[in-house]
Amino acid sequence: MDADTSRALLSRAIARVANRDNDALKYVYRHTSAKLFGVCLRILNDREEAEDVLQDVYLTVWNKADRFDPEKASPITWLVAMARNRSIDRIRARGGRVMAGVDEAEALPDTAPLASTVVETDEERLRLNGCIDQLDPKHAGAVRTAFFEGLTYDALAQSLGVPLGTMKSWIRRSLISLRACLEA
Amino acid sequence: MTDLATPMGEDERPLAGEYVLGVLDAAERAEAERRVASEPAFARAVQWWETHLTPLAADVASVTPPPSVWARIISLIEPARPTAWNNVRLWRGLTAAAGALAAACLVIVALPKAPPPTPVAPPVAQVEAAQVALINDPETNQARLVATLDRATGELLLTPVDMTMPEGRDAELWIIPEGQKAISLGVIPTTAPKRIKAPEGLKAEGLYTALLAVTDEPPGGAPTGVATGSVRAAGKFARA
Repeated sequence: MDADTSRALLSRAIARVANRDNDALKYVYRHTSAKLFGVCLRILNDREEAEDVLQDVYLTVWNKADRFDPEKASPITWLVAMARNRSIDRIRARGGRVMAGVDEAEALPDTAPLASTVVETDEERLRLNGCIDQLDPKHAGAVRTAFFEGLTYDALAQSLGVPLGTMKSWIRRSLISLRACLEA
Repeated sequence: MTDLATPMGEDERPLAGEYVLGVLDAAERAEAERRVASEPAFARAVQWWETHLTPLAADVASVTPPPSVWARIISLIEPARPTAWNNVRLWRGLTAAAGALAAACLVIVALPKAPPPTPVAPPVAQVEAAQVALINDPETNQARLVATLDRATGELLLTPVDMTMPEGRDAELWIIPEGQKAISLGVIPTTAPKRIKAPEGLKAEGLYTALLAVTDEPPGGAPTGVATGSVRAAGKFARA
């Protein structure tokens, strides 16, 4: 199944969830839960908490599916953004994971097989990666680590061993460069 | 945080991007979330970043969650529809019949002397003890609200099915007895069931010929007791 078809099917299923169709929720869950669980686990680093957040995400989908606008967002973007936000809120609530593994700071993100039915189109990924690759490699590493781990500036600075002000400047300049590159 | 006390302009500080990337602390996130809810431009900026940064998640390994997670989810959503009364698929099945009924209702509004409403096949045995009205969107004929008359208690159980109101508007329910003015039954919730007392003088036969309608109104309901908004749904009770 190509990306456009799976995206359309997923959007339609979410529209059916808005009508309280639990078979449709099951469809959404079957096709997206492994990706979302991976995202939650990566940020929370705790299976039990990741399971709680995952449950919370699909209950939110059940209750707020009518807020999804397929004209404005792709379904997987909507779901992954929700999973990331809930996971980040959860680690902030537990006081942050300040020592988020100094060893993993320099580690590259996973390049595990993609969940073929739900990922963004290759075009969007390639474009984003192309723009990130134009950044200073240290800055690019910080951006990726921030995205995958959900670390605060503080934790990120400690984790990568640079002063807080430097980290803020790296990330902010990177975001401004990325915006210019992605809008170009 | 000093950054919030002396905020830089959005040009210098890409706050929406920082929020989406996930580098803000709890207080800054809460502030950003408040702005998403109240500032459309900021909400658009967040959406832009979500659209453009989320493809990174393709690099995160998928991990199949244990079956217990789905079991918990389904157990939490099933009680939301324990009986046939708010089983959406059942009501959806009636949409064709209800569509004809809703069309008849609109004619009744225009013409005082209209043919009696077409009976709808009872969906379940309880219909003999309790009458049901499907209140449908007049444009799509999709059910928006199910009103069930409980004869034993003289109450109407209102179950919203798929009801959304424009931003900042409340749903108000009206009953329009044949040839009379609309009587407000009050503002009703759009996402949760509600029981109200069935209006006096409209029990039994009167209910069959009265039209139930939902309009969108200012918060708290129509200020003068006369509907001011558009009709979002309308329908009648069917004879069992």
